[in-house]
Amino acid sequence: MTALTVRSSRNQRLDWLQRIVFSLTFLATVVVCVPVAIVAVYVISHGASAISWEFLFSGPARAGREGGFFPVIVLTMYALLLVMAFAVPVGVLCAVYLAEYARPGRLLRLINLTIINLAGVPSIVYGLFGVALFFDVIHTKQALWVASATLAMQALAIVITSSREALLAITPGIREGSLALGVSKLRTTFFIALPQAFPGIITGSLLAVSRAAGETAPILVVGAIAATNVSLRPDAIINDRPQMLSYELYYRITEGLGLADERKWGLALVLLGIVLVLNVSALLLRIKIQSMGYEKRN
Amino acid sequence: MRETTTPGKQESRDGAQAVGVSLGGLPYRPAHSAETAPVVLRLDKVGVSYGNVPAVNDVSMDIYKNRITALIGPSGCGKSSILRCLNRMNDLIHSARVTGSVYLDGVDINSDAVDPVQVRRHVGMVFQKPNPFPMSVRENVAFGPKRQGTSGRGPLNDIVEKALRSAALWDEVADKMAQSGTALSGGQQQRLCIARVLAVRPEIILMDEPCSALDPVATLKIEDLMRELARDYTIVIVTHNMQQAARVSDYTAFMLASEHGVNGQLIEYGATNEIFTNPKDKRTEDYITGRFG
Repeated sequence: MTALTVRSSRNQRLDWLQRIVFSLTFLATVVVCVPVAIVAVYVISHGASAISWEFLFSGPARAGREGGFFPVIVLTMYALLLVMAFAVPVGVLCAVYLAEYARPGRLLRLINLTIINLAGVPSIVYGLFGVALFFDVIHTKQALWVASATLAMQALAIVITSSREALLAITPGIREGSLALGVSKLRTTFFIALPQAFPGIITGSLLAVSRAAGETAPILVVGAIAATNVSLRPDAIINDRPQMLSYELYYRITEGLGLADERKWGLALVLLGIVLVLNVSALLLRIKIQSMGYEKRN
Repeated sequence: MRETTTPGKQESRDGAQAVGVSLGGLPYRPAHSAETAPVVLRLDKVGVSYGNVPAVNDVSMDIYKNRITALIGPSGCGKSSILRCLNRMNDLIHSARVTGSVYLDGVDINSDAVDPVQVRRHVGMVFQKPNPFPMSVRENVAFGPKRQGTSGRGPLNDIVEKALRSAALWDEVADKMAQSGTALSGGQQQRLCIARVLAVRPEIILMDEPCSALDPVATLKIEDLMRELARDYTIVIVTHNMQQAARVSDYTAFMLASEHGVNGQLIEYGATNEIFTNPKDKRTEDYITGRFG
């Protein structure tokens, strides 16, 4: 055996290579994090001054130039609840089927691929599809329900994928342990697999909903057509009924009417706050569930 | 003296009738001439294949009540596949196909009319890697009885305590009942898994290399426990460890794959002391004396 050589030229080269690769990975992380921080700081610094009791909890005056955006905020919350109510049960059941019951094979691979692709479909396409389905085929006039259902369709892909991954991540031995006790597959799924996957399902669902909160394109299409049934007339929508935050923000930025910049940033901040609250509650819920174990169940 | 897997043609069926068990029309053939215990499980030409690859075939043997039967053999000889036939765990592997019959108290558990969930209530299983549920110690043991309809704190506590005592774990966890089962040591986790099986009161317990993830001290504890449990239960154990088979089992079945892990077969089955001291088959002798495997 040869003695350890001290820093041959080859070793030094490897050493440099390591440092460069390490620096690159670090740099990539910085590149990702910094803009997020800048956006957050920018929105807060520009919009914080607009936030007041009145801004959050009263109705608009003079077409939104004064007063607050309470109706918009409430409607957003309402819509997000609906999105959750539509997407989570269907998505979780679908994930249970894919992870626990479906036979592995070509068909399952195709279904999984389709679901992943669903997540990549542009949101405007969902909007058009929602309009076509709900207004033209089902003939409903409930714009809020249609918008929520459309957003839910888009959220489904994330809910399914994350729930499926959470179910598949469970150690298979635990399922077998339950089945070997003479516990049926259904009960094993409900009492072992789903509780174990619960944190992942919650995180995925809230993430999907918080993404829906920021989605503008589908609401734009749905809202516009719901209001007029012919063309885009934002005035009518805004004045006749409140819109979701993301759309309100879009409208306020593009309208060119004299709404103070501060108020627009304030709106952005409220939207950011809702998304943040959703994400933080996902995190807290996850920690809470993991720490309490399951002994309090049943 | 001793019957191996090739049964005597003229074997009488008196043994089977004496214990009131129908054995699917097959002759009763004790693996040891002095055996008086009834047969609880009879394997008749059992085979398993995965996809189109046969893993093991033509295994016929009897498992005796309150005895410990060990399946030994090199990796890939199909001993775990055979073990999993005994409580229909192979149902869970989509590509697995099981042929032949396994009679549990006279009923072929592979028939379509038999519910595998029911089979597993009679034939419990402990796995290679301890797999406690991520719940408290108490909930781990109470899980099976609860799912099968036992309710109420009193009755459940009794079942839990009894099972933990039987698994020689009670003294170590009595003050940790609310702690997570996954926080116990490896050996304790495995005994918790045994307690979990005992709580549903099976007749037979299958153990698939239950000690291979454990240290020697924990292994000896489990082995002692197995001897203890054999008073009330029938145990079938798969083990890599020949010494373990020699230490704990009453009967030993030696299995071997014909070529490269396919077509595993039962080479020799008999009383453990005879298999280890006076094997009939050259291949058994080679394996036991450590010439291969």
